[in-house]
Amino acid sequence: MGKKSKDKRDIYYRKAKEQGWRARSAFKLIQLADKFNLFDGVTKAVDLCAAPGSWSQVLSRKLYMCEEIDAEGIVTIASNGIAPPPEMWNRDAKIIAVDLQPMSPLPGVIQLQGDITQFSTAQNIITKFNGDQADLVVCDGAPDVSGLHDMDVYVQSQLLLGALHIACNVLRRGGNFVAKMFRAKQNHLLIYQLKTIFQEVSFHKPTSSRNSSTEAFVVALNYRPPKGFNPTLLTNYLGIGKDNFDGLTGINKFIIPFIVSGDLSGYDADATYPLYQDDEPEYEYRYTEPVQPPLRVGYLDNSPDPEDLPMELPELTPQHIKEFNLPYKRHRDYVIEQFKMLMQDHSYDVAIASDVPQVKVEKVLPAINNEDFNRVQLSITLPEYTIEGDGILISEEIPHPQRCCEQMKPTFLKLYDYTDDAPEDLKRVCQYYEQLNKYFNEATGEENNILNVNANTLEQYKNDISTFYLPCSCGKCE
Amino acid sequence: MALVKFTGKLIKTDVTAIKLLENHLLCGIGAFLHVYSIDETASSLLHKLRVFNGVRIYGIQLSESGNKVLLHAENQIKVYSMDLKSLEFKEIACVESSDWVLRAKWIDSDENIVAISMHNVIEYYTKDLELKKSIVCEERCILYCANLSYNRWEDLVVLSGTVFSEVLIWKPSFDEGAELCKVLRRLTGHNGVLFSIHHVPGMELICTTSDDRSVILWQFDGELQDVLKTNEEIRLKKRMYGHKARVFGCQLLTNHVVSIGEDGFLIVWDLNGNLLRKIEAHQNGRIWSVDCSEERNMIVTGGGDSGVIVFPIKPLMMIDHLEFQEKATPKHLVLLENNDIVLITDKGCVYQMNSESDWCRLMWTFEEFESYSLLEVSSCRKMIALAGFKGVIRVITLNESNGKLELTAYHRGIEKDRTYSLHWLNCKHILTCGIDGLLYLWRIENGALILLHISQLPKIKERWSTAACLCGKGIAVGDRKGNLHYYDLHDLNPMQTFKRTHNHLGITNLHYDSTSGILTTLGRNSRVCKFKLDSHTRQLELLTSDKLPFTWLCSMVQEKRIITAFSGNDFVLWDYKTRRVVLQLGCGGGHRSWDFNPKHSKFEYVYIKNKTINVIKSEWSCINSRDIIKGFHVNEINSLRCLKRDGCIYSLSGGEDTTLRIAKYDGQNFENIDVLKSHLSSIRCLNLYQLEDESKCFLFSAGGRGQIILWQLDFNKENICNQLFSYYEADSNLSEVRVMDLCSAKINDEVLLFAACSDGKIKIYSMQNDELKLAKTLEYKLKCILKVTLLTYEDETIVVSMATDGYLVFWDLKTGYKFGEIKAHISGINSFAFRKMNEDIFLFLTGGDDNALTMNLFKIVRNENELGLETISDYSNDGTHVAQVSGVYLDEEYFMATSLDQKLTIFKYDILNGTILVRYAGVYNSTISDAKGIEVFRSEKSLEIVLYGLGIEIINCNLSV
Ligand SMILES: C[S@@+](CC[C@H](N)C(=O)[O-])C[C@H]1O[C@@H](n2cnc3c(N)ncnc32)[C@H](O)[C@@H]1O
Repeated sequence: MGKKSKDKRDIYYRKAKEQGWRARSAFKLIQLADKFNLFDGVTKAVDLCAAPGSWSQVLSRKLYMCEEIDAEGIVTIASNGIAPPPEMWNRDAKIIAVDLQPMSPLPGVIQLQGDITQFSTAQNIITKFNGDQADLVVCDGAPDVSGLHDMDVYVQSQLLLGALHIACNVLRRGGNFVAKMFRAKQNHLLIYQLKTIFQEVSFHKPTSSRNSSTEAFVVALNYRPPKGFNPTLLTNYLGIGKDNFDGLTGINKFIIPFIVSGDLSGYDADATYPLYQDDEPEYEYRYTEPVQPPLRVGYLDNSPDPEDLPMELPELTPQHIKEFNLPYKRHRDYVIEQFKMLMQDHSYDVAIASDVPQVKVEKVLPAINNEDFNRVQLSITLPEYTIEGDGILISEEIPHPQRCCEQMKPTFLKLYDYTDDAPEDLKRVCQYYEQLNKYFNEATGEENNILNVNANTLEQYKNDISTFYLPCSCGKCE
Repeated sequence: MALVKFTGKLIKTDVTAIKLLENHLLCGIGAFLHVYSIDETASSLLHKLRVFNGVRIYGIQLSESGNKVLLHAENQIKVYSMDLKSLEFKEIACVESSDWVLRAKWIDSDENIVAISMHNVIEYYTKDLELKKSIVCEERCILYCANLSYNRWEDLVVLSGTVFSEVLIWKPSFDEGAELCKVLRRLTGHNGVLFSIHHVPGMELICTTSDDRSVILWQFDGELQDVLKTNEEIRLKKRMYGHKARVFGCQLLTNHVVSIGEDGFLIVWDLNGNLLRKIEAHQNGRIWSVDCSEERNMIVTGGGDSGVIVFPIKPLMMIDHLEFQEKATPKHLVLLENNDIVLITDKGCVYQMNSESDWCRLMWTFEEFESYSLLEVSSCRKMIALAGFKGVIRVITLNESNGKLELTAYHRGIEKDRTYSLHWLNCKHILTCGIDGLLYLWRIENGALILLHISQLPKIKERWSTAACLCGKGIAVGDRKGNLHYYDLHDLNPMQTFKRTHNHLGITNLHYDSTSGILTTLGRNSRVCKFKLDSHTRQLELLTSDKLPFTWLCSMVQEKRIITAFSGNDFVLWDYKTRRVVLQLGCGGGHRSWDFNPKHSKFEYVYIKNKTINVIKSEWSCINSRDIIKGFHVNEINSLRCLKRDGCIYSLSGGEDTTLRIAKYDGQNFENIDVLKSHLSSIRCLNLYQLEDESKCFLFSAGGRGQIILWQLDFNKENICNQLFSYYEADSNLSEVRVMDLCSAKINDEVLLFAACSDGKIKIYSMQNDELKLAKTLEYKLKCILKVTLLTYEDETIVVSMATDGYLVFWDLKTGYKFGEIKAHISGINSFAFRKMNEDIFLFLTGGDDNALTMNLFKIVRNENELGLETISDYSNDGTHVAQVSGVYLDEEYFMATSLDQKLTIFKYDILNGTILVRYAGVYNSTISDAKGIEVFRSEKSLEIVLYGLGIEIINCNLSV
């Protein structure tokens, strides 16, 4: 069940894959939009911190390709059940997506690569609008989480300020702004101050955010800056950090409504779902391959919550094992975990009974020709297993009894030949090893690490198993 | 306004700032500055003060005069006067900047202070922190790091690192009239956010580290100052890879570069960028801070595991290579007590050699040892035994007066009686293993070997022994297949056999300690097993089996708590106590012939590689690291339970790092007692069940993969905590279920455990013979259940569950049906506490994911045999906390809450005619992020609070203000 395990753990992850979204975060925007009719009358939108692009995807399908998306994230096409053909697409729609990372293209989306806190990026976006104004600015930005919570919160609030600065420059009067922010010490003040430039401000948590997640979204509706408002002075204007809540009296000093959006009777981001549900007989579970892979896996670590891990990584197939683009420790741990599970699945109960194969990060290779990611090599150490009886299987490292050989390498020896009436567990072990062999060869690219012995040679060794040693390269061994 | 007074007593969390002084060490841990004395061998905490309120120290800078210290935290800067003799610290000045301060320092001979903030702005202050001016860099964007170089305003050079991979070099005094200050140089080469930059005036190098896992050394000619005035280039000299994750910090020293990373590695490089040493520290958690002193050969690091460690920059070692000149190939070698080496070749020639005086002498040629031989040294290292194919055994002794080797004993043997292995039991006895697993016990006496006893290994493939030792009145023998046998000296067959103590690669080492009666076994399967010998029954009993990070374990240096092992091609010395690598030497792996001789203050390691004898010598003190502060959990603590015994607080904690830890706090020191690693996945909840015997209780721990472990705590035992049973779902469909909370009670003479699960079920287990059996399941909806607890009403047990939907749900345990619910929060309920007011009235306090604190006063009623619920009143507060409320506490007078907003709040309350009246009583700003809960001990006039999350803080709350 290895590759299905995340499907069980995270219903939104599974739904995202099934419905073709690049990341589960798509549901956050969908739920917010549903609650506030954010897309009504919108043709021009800016998506800040957009990679890998699930929010842009929602914007593109809704605004450009004119598809309908319901609150559950299902694209319901149109009333007549037919997807609008390209000639029906809204060519007036303009969507600009900005991120530090590149992302794969989407219909109707103009991409910019840059730092949204940098002054020049803001100017760049303004130029792209050619004097036009935007109806909606969204920002799902999250810093490269360092693990120092206070610093991450601060950087996150700076991203929000950057986004707000851009919004104030491109939004039309009456336009809307949605941005991610962490619920943490001083941040509330920031939202409070947003009230001076937007008519309605509230603070939301979509049900697709996990319970433990500190992330929330501020939704600011109806942009109406005071006269003479100069957005370039925004930083000073909002100046956070000066105030703190020490004078707090417990009698509500600032009350900004905290709202949960999304249907509470709907899916729960924290629950473990079975793959088949009793009350959903018509729903048939099929494992779905992940959607569009991100251009740079590195984005992953930037997300504040592990829940935002993209769907591209977890599915391990032998091809992936050879070399994996995993610049961060967290990803590697994740892949290793997944891999172990995968291995376990193939081993039935056998692998659980013996040791789980050890997967080790062998090497981190530097980037190849200007690709901005790095590769790792994984190696797999097979667990030993011996069964004597009707069938024979030996798979273990057998060093020579004489320690004569300096260069001796651990060698895997595998003998298998089982008949159909061999004991059930033996068959399983053999299948398991076949599977492992495959992975191991794929992973190392070295076929000869494992020696396959056929039925004939097997006969030869059968009687004398205990004294059979693999010849080693030194040539001096007996 | 505040009705109570809070005092922070102890903190263990990320060590974000560290400064090494002559004899002292300053550490910034949370809002507290800790002062340690430190010398070559010892260290101790001298003083601790709370510098900031709820923000943590990110930088410590000493004034040139040494009597003032500059500290910064988030956007605050403070100056303290400091006297390290009297330990007096006084606040002199403080300022709040409008932006996060990345770095600050003294300049102009302590007359002024400069600070660089996150938006690339320099603030120039007087020594009393009055702002003189701000200089804004023309590149306005956010920075993660910056370095301030040179000590005078006119010279000051700023190197700032952007999120977009660039290093910007600028000079605030360049054109002070301009609105924005020009960037003089941009260094591009990194591929991700910059995390640290270092430059030292006088050095022609700049060092930077980044998100892209690399460290870069940049080079230029001359003084950086001058280079900036010309067109001279700053070149990328070397890009260094070695870290496996982000590189958080670096320091340039005169001869070295030191870097620290997210992966818990500390790497020492030379100035050409060659990796000299890689040290694994802080339990593989993140390393946040580093400081070095080259004169004292010291590096100190502060980690995410709350620990502080000192390391030598350079382990001092002597490395020698002796070319073996003769034609033959050296096969085996051993070290003697006088540091001489004895070696045998494939031609059966025995040589004696010495690495210091560089001589090598052929002693004997034994034709019987040609092509196959065994060479073993006794533990006193004065005797050597040789054996081979033809049954011959020879013993050689070192004559201590003249340093010569002498042949002392000889056994002729039978032709073709091959000796498979040979073990010294003590300096008089050896054990050899021959064909058919026959074990011969010999005594060396008067130039002869006297056969004392023969025993035999049970039948296995490859039937020979791999290790042996005397153990009480018998002999413990490990065989080639990893089985352990215990023989007495009367029988052919073993008295006792432990199958597969280690894996099929055999047992590598056996050691018996007669005082404790403990037998330790090492294997090539990463495991160290301990057995206890019962002197009456003469039976061995398995006590523990511990897994190490290396597979091939070799031997144990008892006195030093060091294990020797092989990891790939490296020989490793591993400190058993700190679980850390002490030394790692490339040698080509354990299949080579090698010997290791640990002595009291020194050690020596020799091995053969390509006909060369390699000798490495060092002293323990030159390689060893030392803990100044012991590490604790590496990541969040999800659950923590406290017990009070003998005036001490015992804390049991489990977290994301999958470890269960036991520690003891005596009001002063926080001491780790044990670390237990049995969980497959993170631990989310703990529950204690007190047994009748006061000193014993059950501890249940549970978390990911549906795993629940039952432990017994016994405070009279040396090992307080012992695992009794581990339950986990074999069904892979269930194995993704997380156990979120646990509670236990004795009901109808049966101990029942209730587990709140992420699949919307409450599973009830009964305990039988120290095992858990699933007895019953209560099914809620497909909502993750976060909390579960029990109420008693009359003689009924009521189960209360709380899930992500914000409802308190009441179940009648007898019928298994729910009979009532209260909507307490708009989303998940993270914490609760309750009081039984009388027979049927309960007061329930909950803290939610919606930032609110809610109280519900309700009554349980019985209508015609069915239970029911009547609410009386409620109270809700959603204005105090701005993030999830993750922990609450409730007693007769007060209630408390802690939240992810890092505030600990206390309220006084009353219930008048069924109405809840609440008064805010005070707040404590903690620096523990990701707070997960609180444990509280109430005494009449005070509260003792243990707050946990990413670290722990112990806080006292005085109620009589
Ligand atoms: C959680 S992801 C956004 C996910 C996206 N909304 C989606 O639905 O696919 C956060 C993104 O913020 C970006 N980011 C972080 N700091 C940034 C900055 N200073 N400027 C631009 N983008 C930034 C990261 O590169 C990352 O791709």
